[in-house]
Amino acid sequence: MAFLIPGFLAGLVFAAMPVIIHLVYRRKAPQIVFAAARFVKSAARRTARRRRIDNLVLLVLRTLLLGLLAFGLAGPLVKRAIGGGASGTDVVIIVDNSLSMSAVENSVPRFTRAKEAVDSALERLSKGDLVAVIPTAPLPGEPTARAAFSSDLAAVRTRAARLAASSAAGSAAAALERAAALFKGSAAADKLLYVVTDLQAAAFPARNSLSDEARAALLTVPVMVYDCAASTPRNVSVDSVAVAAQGGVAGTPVEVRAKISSNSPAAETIVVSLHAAGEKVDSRTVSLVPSGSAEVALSTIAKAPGVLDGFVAVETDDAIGADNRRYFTLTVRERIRALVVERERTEPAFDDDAFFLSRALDPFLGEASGGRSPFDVTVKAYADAKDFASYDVVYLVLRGGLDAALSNALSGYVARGGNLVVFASDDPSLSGAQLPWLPARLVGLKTADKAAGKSFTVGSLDANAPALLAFKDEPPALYNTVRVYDYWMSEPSAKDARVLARYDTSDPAMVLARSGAGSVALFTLAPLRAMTTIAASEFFLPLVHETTYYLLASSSGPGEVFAGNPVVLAPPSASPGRLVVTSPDGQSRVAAAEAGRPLVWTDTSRLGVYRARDDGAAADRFAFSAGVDPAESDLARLDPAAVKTRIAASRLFVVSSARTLEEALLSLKPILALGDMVLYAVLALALLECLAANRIPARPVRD
Amino acid sequence: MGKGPAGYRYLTADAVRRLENLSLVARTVVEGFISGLHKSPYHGFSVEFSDHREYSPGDNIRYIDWQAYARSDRYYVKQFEEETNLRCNILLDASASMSYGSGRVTKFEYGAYLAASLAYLMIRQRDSVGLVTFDRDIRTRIPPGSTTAHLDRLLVELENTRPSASTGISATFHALAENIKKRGLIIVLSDLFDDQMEIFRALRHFRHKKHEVIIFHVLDPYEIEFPFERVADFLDPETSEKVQADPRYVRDEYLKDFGAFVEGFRRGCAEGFIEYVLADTRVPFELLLSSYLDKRKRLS
Repeated sequence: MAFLIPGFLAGLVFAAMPVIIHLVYRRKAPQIVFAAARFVKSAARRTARRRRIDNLVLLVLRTLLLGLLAFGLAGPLVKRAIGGGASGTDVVIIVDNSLSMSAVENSVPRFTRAKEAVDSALERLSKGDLVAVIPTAPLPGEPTARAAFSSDLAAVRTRAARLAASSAAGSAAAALERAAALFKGSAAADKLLYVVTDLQAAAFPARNSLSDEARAALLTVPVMVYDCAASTPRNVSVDSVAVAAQGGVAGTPVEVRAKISSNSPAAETIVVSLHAAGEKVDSRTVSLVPSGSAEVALSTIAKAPGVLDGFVAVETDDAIGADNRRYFTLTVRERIRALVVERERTEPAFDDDAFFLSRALDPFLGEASGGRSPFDVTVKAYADAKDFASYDVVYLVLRGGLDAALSNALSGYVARGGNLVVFASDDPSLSGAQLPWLPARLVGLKTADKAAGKSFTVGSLDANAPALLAFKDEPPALYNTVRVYDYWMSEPSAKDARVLARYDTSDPAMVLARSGAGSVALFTLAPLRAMTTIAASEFFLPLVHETTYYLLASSSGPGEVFAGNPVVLAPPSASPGRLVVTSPDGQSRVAAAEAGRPLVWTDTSRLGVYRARDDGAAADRFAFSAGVDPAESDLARLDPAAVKTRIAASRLFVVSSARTLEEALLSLKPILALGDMVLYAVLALALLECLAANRIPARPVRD
Repeated sequence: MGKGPAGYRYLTADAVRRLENLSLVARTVVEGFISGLHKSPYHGFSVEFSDHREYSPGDNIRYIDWQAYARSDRYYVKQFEEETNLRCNILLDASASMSYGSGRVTKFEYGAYLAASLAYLMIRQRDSVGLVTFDRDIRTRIPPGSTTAHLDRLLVELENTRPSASTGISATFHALAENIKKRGLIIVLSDLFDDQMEIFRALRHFRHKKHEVIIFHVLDPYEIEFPFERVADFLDPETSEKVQADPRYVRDEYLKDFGAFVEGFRRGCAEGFIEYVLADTRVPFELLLSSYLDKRKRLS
């Protein structure tokens, strides 16, 4: 039981007044000498019982009257009504179970406080209320179900008791949208929304980020934002890991670059270690400025073919342990099997479009020097190029009039995780070619006035793109000295197409896109002497190598996904087929690929390395890792006063304890207070008191 | 010498003046009353000659002593002791309960006024009046006398008497009934707060001794009406017993009991040939006497 104005409860002492008055006046009754006292005595004896009963009734009524008056003025509120008022309240409880809620403050995880708040909210519900509990992050092993109200409070409590902080990032915005949808379909007169959260700034929806419908639905619902966090505890995290492995060829160095962040107000010196294949292989000590980050490079050797996994860890004791480690995977090959499909063989050989390409991939091709390229290059003519599955990467010098069978074969190859690098030749018939696996449509050949000594050049590189990171520190002279006489103007058409290089005309020179489980890189020119001088430049070899390494890395599996997010896996080699995925806890599950549909793996809630192999195969085909969304490591909190700017609700309260929650709920008086009812009871009692008092004969009427 | 009738507390000049008026107004009533009293009990008994007195108009010529007339040539009327001196004993209750009075006079004072007035009226009639004050015992007893000096003595006694102690009416009356040898008039002035049956038994004792008995039941209006409103401790002045009561609760029962108490006396007296007069102390005593005598007259 709670009260609006508990001070009035002090008035309960007045309930004792009738008793006190009775006792005082009984003791202080005036004495009257009365000769006929003997008659009074006998009359009193006979009426004593009635008088006692009447007095008792009056005493009780008056005591109740005064007590209830004080009680009513104090504004009592029924406990069951606190859920939202009367029975029949629709209540939605959004529980932030994202990783940040696992942060430990004062030896207590935030989520422990969150569960207490949820229990408290559920405790207030009564029969007839409907409730839905919406976690902001997916629960391990539990697919995100459609939120629905339930009247089975016991079941909801059981489910709430199983809630746990997830390793995944949470989406308060998504949860609010779901809550708004529930309220929109609710016919209940009383609604109440709890948001149990740590007010992590990064996780809260940005201003006006909710849909108009959601904002409209939430506008009239009282919102109780329960702040479970007490402070911003120190946290150090491995925010990202990038693996540079030069194609992942066995025996070559693997560089792992990690970004380490700290929110500590003091400078930190942290030991960062690299673990690969179950061993600690490298470590560095890194200094972090207050609330800063630093990149650290660690390295190892890819020793043997197969799937190499490992992680980068910071050795520190901080608020969140899960983000102190970030995993990586690498598919290590004996050599990179590369197929060069040549347009036509010409003489002299250096006019052959495959010549420079092959030489770029394996400069030692055909030499008996003992030098060894990571590429194992095979050159085939269009007519002979059919079975691509045995190659890690295919280089195609594109010509017009491509055979449909070849086009389909390439499409299937890419869809199952193959990597395709396409060079557009100067064949005019390429114009307008409809090739679905190409990331851009070639719209026209652009030709410089070569006779006048004119040419184009590569004007810019997107050196921030992972594929071209190696060029980040290279001078522009590396590529803008390349002369281009002809190139294909293009329009990127793939959904995720990214232009990585442009000519000085701003037309795309290189477009990259995912296609199925594989990747396609399109160069809008070909290494032909008639089109460009690029093949002879020192830019060409590293460009081809880095692009290939990137494609190989990206097609060797999804790499890293943030925990809780679904991931598209490369379908089995044989289609349709089954893929066996072994999760970090050692459990293997089969994912069946349906023909024509991407294979999506949703259970990535556990942090670590997931290995995938074709059903029946002995070795893993690829692996990927699930890591913490770096946003969850940023424990910066939203100013409670600013919450109202994020959630548009007419009545929003930010509370941080059961008491403040109680007060906030009490402020929803119109639906919760019982004071009026009690005061009506007081009036009824007063009436009864009058009736009871009037039963006693009044003073006699004198003549 | 005494202070004279008009100098006493219970027979003030004003009272005497009012009694004079009463006397004038109700002379015939009183005389009728007295003479009535004279006549009835003594028929058939031998009477003893006591004295002569000069005839005065209005005297019954039957009693003119013609022999004396012959000797002296003057009319003398024969006086017989029994006829000329009614013997009246006034029994005044002086118990503590009589000390109660809600108004200006207590019941005892009212009774004393009545006693003084009756004594005055009767001595003026040359009747003998005696006074007995009692509580649980006889406190004082003044045998009947008919002189002015005797009236003085009665009045002094009345003044000196203070009500106290408990009532013991029946025992007292029994004792008096045995002690008052000569038949006469017994006037009881009391609130009769005692056992009703015992009181009647004692009164019958008087009747058995051939006394005429008149009871002036002296009651205070508060006793009759019980107008109290607030809870109080009611103290019995005789027993000092206290009882706390809420008048609102006990009134009905009280009035019922008290009414039955008064009615019991009224009925019992009627059955026992005893005059019963309810003397409400609110009513001026001369008015009470007047109305009583008027009623007597009409009945006789």
